[in-house]
This record gives sequence, structure tokens and C-alpha cells, in this order.
Amino acid sequence: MTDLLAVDNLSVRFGDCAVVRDVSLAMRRERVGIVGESGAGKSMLGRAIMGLLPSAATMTGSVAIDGAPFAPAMRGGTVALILQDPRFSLNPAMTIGDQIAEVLRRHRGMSGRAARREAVAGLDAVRIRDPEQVYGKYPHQLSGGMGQRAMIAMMLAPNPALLIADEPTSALDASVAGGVLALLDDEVTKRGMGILFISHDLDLVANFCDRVLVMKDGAIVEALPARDLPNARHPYTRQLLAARLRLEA
Amino acid sequence: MTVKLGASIVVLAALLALAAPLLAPYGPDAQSLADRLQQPGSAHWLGTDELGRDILSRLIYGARVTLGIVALVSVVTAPIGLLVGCVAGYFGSWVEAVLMRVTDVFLALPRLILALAFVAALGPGIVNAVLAIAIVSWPPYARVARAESLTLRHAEFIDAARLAGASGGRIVLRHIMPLCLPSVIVRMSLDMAGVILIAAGLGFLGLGAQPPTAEWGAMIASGRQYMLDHWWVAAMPGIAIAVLSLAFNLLGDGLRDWLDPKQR
Repeated sequence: MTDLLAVDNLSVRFGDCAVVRDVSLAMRRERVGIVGESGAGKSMLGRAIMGLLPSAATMTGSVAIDGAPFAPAMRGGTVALILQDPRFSLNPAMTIGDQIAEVLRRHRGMSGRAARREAVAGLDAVRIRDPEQVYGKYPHQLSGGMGQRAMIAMMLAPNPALLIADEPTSALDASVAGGVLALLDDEVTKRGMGILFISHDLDLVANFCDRVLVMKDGAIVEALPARDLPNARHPYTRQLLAARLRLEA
Repeated sequence: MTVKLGASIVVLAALLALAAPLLAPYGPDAQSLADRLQQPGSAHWLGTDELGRDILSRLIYGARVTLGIVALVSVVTAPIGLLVGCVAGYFGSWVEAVLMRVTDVFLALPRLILALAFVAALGPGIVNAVLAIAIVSWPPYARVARAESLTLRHAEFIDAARLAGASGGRIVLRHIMPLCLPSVIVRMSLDMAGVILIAAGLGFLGLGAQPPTAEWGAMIASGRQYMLDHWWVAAMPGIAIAVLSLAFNLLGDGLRDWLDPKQR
């Protein structure tokens, strides 16, 4: 069986400064977490996989999805990326529903009415109450949690095989984040897709993912099963583990 | 307050233009040489011109020409400017360089002079006047739209649209253009005064509407010879032009405040 995602010697540099160094990774339809401190190159890696980097960046190495080299046409349909903050990642001048329907029309060739029906169903699937009404709302009228649910509905609409989630809950309150995470969990299981979960929250990743990759200064320094995380050997991983805030009883 | 004044004058002018045949006391071209150059009075509220035509009636019919030109110019120029600016701003690199240099060329020449040149080349007449004004009016909109697109280009939701697989054309049409529209509309309403002046200027120089069409600029031109003894013939259309231009400016100012969330 070919790997769902195969990244080979991927590097991203801005001039002389490499922000991602020789990263190689392979994953099947599983849950892989990427952790690391701010600036470790996690988000840049996610964007590089989607082939969407700032124009000043140069990228070397290769990315293959399901055995085929990555092509821009795969964006959305085959691989989707959920951005961090729904306040910025939804178009402020379009209604939530229209944005989801646009994706459906583009990727599944639906007519206007079918896309509308499907978008409402999609909003319902991400557990938004009263999806009919939310369909006609603008992003600023929604809470952060609702916005991120709508974003997830939008990115899941074309049924991608691989979902990259770039800190999908870091802009949300802890209680809301839990709900969004449970939702992602359900959808990933139900659709049997692979997810690359980028986060700086070790506990979150340990609970959510099957495998964890630890990044530092643009390189992967350790790869291990999530349940073995407490026994990690690499000094940097140990340092990250030690840096977690604990509520002492 | 001033906004409402501006808006009501514009609406009033539009209503007058639409209902011209019902409201004008005389026909716009009805000559009566016995009544030529009458002072403003009860029979002719704003007096008559050198051919005995009622100036009020000609002003009312003239509003049709002026507002028609304004409307046509807006409909033609705004989409052109919006498209050029958004494409340049979003795609950047050589596309932007080419489009914006072309825009600069048009901006470098005074609008009225350039419009005169185009009318001279195309031949006088209202349609050609509209064309000429449209050709010289789109560059400011392109500038505004480009500036707006530049800030939007790096917005996260544009990235999100690209991540969802939207093509460049779709992003420009569906995501960038609607967001640039408010600034373009404001700029347009502030520009309408300029369009009125250019239209009147072309009419005055005999390059716009042709006689006997009642057109404000042409009316001033014909009243010019009688200005010292019969001031109203030139002054009335002049006042009309000034008032309507002012009204559009007031409206534009108001729209700018109203569409800008920061100033609310």
C-alpha cells in the first residue's frame, strides 16, 4: 500500500535562512502529530506540503500524495488545511454558507441548490445548531468556536483524503477547543482519512494522535508513538515535557 | 445632515429628469421669438433664452442628459477600474507592472484635455462624450482597487480560499472584488462631480451634446454672448451644474463615512 503522504527531503529557505531542513516523513491514513516550540517550522512544513509558501521562500524536496506528486489541483479536494484562527481565515464579506457552497460547487461540481443543501448538511454535521440560520450569517456574527466548526465543515466538504490541521484550537477557549477537537476526532474516524495535527500542546497531541514527530529548528528530532511520549529520550523532547504547566493538587 | 442634503438634491434631480415631460412647463425646444430673452418672471420662472425657449424646461430636460452621462460613465468605468486594479493587486509581479504603468499613462494627462482629444478623434456627440469620459475616468478606480487588493492579498482568508483549491480568477472575482467595491463606490460618488464638469465642458466647447439638445454646458455656451445684459441665460445652467456637483460631493463624503466602520 502506498503512503497517503510521503515527504522527501523537504527544505524551505528564506534566502540563507532555512526554516525547514531536510524533513522526510511518511504517513498512512493515521493521526500524526507535529509538536515543537513557536518558530520550529511546524506551520511552514504544513504550508509547504500544500505548496503554498510566501513568494520569498524557496522549497526543495518532494511531496507525494497517494503516490502521485503534489499538484495545486489537489488543494482542497485531496488535501485540505485548517488554519489557526477562524476570525481571519473566513472571508468577512461572504456568508458562511456561501463559502461552503462555493467549495462544493468547485470540487464536487454541484449545482447551486444541491450545494446549498449539502452545505446546510455539512454545518449540521459539525454540530452547529440551527444550520439553516447560520448559513446566512457572516463570520463576524459567529463565535470563535462556531467559526472554526464552519471552517472544518468547509474543509471537509470535498471529502479530502488528508487533512492538515494547523493549531486548529489554539485561538479558542479551552472548553470550546475540547468540543472542536472531539468533532475533528469523530470526523477523522468516520471518514477514515489521515490527519497531520500541528500543535504546540504536547498533552493534546498525546491524546489525539497515534504518532508524534518533534520538530526543532526546522528539523524532525524525534519520532515516537504517542503513548511513549512520557518516556521520550531526546533531550529537547524531555525539555518540552518539563516545560508543561501542571496544576499541582 | 449634509449627506441628506446631498442625497435629496441628487434624488430630486433624478426625479425631475425622469418626469421631465410631466413637470416642464414648456417643451425644451419650443421656440417663441416674440418671448426671447425674457427676464425670470411668472410666465417663465427662470426666463427665456435667445430663441425664446423656456430655461426652466431646458434645465429639467438637460438633467436627463447630464445624469444619463453620469450613470453611463459609472457603469462603464467602475467595473473596468475594479478589474484592472484587483488583477494587478492580487497577481503582482509583471502583471501588476504592466497594468499599473498603463494606468499611470492615463493618469499623467489632464482628464479634460485627454477627453477632448478622444472626442476630437471620435467625432462630437453624446455617445462619444460618454466614451471619452469613460476612457479617462477608470484609472483612479484601478489605483484604489489595487491598493485595497494589496492589503487583501496576504489576508489569511485568501490563503484559506487558495488552500481550498480556488483558482486565481475565482479568488479575484469572488473574494477580492467584493471587498474592494466599497472604496470604489466612494471614489465614484466623489468623482461624479468631475464627470458632470467634464460633460458640461465638452458641451460648452460644442463637442458633447449637439444643438438643439438641451444640455447644461451647451446652454452656457449659447448664453455667453448675452451674459452682460441677460445674465440668467448663462447663469441658470451654471447654477444647476454647481448645485448638482456639490450634491454629489456631499453624498460621496457621507458614503465614505458610512462605509468606513472606523469612522462610524
